[in-house]
Amino acid sequence: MTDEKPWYGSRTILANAIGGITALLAIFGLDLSPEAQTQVATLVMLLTNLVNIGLRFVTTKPIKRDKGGTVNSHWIVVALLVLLAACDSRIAPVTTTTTDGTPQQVIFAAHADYLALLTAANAYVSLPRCADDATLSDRACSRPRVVKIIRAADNDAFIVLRSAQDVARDEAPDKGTVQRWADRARSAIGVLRAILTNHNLIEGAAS
Amino acid sequence: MTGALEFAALVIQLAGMAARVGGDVIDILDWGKARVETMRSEGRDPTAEEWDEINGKIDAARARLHDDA
Repeated sequence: MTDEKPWYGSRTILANAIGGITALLAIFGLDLSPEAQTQVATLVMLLTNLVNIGLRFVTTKPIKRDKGGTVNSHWIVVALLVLLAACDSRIAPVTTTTTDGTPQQVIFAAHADYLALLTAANAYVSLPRCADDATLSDRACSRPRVVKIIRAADNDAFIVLRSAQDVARDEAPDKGTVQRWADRARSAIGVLRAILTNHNLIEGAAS
Repeated sequence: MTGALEFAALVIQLAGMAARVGGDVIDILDWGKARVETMRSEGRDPTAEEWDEINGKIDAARARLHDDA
C-alpha cells in the first residue's frame, strides 16, 4: 500500500487545471465562478473513480502504464475536465439591468434582461423531464416541479413587464408613474432571476 | 460499455448545449446593452420598432417555455 496518488487524484491540481481551462473558455464567453470550479473538480474526481471502476470490469488485457496510472485514465481525466468545465458553465450572470437613463430606457433594458433569463430558462425546460425526486444532475434533466415554478414566475414577470411597457409607450406618461413601473419591472425580473439562481441554472450575482 | 458510451454522448450533448445557450444569453445581453447605449447617446427613448422587435423575441421565447409538446 502506498500513499501516492495519481495527479488527477489531487483536488488542488484539478482545481488549478480547471481554473486554466475555464480561463480559456472565458475567452469564448463561458464563465465559471470559483465555487463552480470547485464543484467541477469534485465531480471530475468522482467520475474518474467511477470510470476507473467500470474499466476494471471490462478490461481483459493489461495496458501500457506509466508512473501515475494507466494511459487511458489520463486521457479520460483530461477529457472530463474539458467537457465538464463546459457542461457546468452555468449561464453567465444575467444582471445587467440598468438603473441609469430614463425610466423608459430602464424598462427596455429590463425587457432585454428578461429575454436573456427566458433563454436560460428554456435551456432547462427543454431538457427531458425526470421525476421530482430524481438524483440526476440538474443539467441532465428537468424536474416537473421546477418547470412549473419557472413558468409561474415567468407569467408573473411578463404581466408586470407588459404593464410597464404600456406605460413607457404612452405618448405623455406621468414621470412618477413611469418611474414606479420601471422599479416594478426590475423587481419582477429579479424574482425570476432569483428562482433560476436558486435552482442553479444561472450564476448568482448582485444586480 | 454501452452505458459508458451513452454517458459520454450525454456529457458531450450537454456540454454543447451549455456552450450554445451561454453564447445565446451573452448575445442577448450584448444586444440589449447596445440598444440602450444607442438610445442614451441619441438622447431618446425606445422607438415603436425597437419595442416590436424585443416583443417578438420575447413572445417566441415564451412560446418555447410554455410548450409541452
